[in-house]
Amino acid sequence: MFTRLNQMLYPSSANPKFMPSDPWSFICFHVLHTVLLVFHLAYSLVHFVQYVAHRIKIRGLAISYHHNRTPQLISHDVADLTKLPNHLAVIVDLQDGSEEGGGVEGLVAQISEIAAWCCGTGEIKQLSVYERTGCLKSYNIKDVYKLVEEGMRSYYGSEMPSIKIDVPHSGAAHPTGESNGKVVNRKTDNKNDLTIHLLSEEDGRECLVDLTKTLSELAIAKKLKPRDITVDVIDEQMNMLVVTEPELLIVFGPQLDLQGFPPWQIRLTEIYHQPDNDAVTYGVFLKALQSFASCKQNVGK
Amino acid sequence: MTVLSLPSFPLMQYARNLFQDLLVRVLRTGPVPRHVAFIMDGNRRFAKTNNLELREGHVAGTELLLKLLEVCFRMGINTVTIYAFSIENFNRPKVETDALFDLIRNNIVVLGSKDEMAERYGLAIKILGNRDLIPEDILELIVRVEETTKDNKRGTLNICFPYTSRDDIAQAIQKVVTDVFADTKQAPPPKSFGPPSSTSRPSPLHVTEKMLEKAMYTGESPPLDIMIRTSGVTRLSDFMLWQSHKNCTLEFVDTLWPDFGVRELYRLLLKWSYVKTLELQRDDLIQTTKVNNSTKNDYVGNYDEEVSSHASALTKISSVEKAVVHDEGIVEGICID
Repeated sequence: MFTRLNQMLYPSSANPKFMPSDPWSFICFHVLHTVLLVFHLAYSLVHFVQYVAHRIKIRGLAISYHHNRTPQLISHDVADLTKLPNHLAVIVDLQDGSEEGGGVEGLVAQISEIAAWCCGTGEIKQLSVYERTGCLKSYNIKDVYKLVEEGMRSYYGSEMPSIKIDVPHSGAAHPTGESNGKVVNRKTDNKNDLTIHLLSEEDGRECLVDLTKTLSELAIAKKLKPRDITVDVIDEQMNMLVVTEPELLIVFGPQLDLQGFPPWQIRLTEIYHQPDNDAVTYGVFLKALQSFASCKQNVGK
Repeated sequence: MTVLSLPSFPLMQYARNLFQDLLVRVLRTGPVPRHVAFIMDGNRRFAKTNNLELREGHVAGTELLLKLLEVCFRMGINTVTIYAFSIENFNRPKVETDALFDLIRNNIVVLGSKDEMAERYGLAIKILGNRDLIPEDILELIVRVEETTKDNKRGTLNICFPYTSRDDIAQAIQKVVTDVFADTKQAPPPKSFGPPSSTSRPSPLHVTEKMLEKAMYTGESPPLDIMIRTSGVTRLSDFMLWQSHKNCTLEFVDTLWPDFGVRELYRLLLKWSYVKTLELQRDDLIQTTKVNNSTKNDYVGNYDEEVSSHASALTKISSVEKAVVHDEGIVEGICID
């Protein structure tokens, strides 16, 4: 009965810890809560102004940088950057399928665009694309490969760089390279200009849980002592099972949210996020590379 | 100068405290995060830009920390986690690590001693990290402070020292594997008692995300809501990776840690409160529309029947009335006759 009353008298967002029941504190609470609502209103106004400023900035980026689908222009844009990542990760959102550029098709188009830019820089050899739901993984990898290649062809024409798509969770890869029954180490062959890793939520915590299961089985089978489980052992396994640590992560979404990106892999990763951006654009990509070039990494020092 | 400002100083201080208290009271009428983490970055750059000694930079940072902790706990935040010392920090020059150790030593004593923060806010102080790497004299202190504050239930202050998230995940995996291993090693019941029940024994297949989460250093803390990193660096630097990569607001702030003030913390908390309120309202809306829809659907299901039964009842009633009228007429007629 009392809790029902409290529910009626207090907003659902209120902290139950500070829900007094005597009349005086009740009045106080509501006066203070009203002030909070005024603050929220003020903040929403500030937020709106910020939003407009961010959108103008993004528009400005789009105007000042354009790739014109020519790799030479891309490599010219990154020419004066002091360093570029070798392994880039991006978080992309699955857009509503009914909108233009949405759905799985839109996603593949985005991936092929980013892949084309990465090849254009000439330095980025690995691209990890994180999409939370993993909807791409249910498609045949050869079809995805074909679509990505098609998209990249508009940049490269006949001088197509060799790419490879790899789905760590299922172990599928295309092209597979040697196929005479021998398992090729996915991470060590560097014959391709760009390797694209498709990641989703299951490559994060779930993968660590699976690793724990495997290690427990090994321990029970007396092949491994629990004491021997160290950071290095796990790191080696994670590098093999998922991907290595990316150097730069670009979040192409309005909010800075990692959405469950594999936790083991983001240890020292530089995270770039353009606030209120909602599209995968070349301007943001370039801005991220510029900020990566200007930051300095110092582990522990 | 100092003489002039002296009389007004306590008054100003008083007014400022009053104002801050009011703000805290306002903010806690809304949603309050349960768990906030700080990466206190920028002490060294602060010292450099202000021509101070390195040590003084760290001291300034610690002073600020105490101020912010007070705000956090007054606001009703349950757990605050701070990154005091990374395992990688052992790579720093010895002079600096010694200075840092000194600071930690002094502050742990201050925090844990009577009528200090821990007592005032009912805080349990916990040190998270790889204890094998802690110098012996500090370890003793830590154990003592943890022991004296362990019964405080109102909040928790986690001090990560020396900590890295990968080390955390690795030790959690190790712990879970050890548990599973120990459980299976216990001899199954002898054959004479019938076949061993396979369901009661934990097997590797029963390892879950929850088990791992519980085995982390932060296993007893509520899920992380906000992670704040100062000094404009946009990396997690091996801090709470597992805890922050999901359902957590990351805030990368440009100010150096000693310059990061209560005001800025307040701004971030207000932002969080605003976003959370909107989220809660949206969830409420979804829930109520769901409830409405479901009741409407149920109702629609019965509605037709009801309408038809009403209709049939109506026709029945009218026919009965007619009959009555008719009968009455007849009766009347009979009477008249």
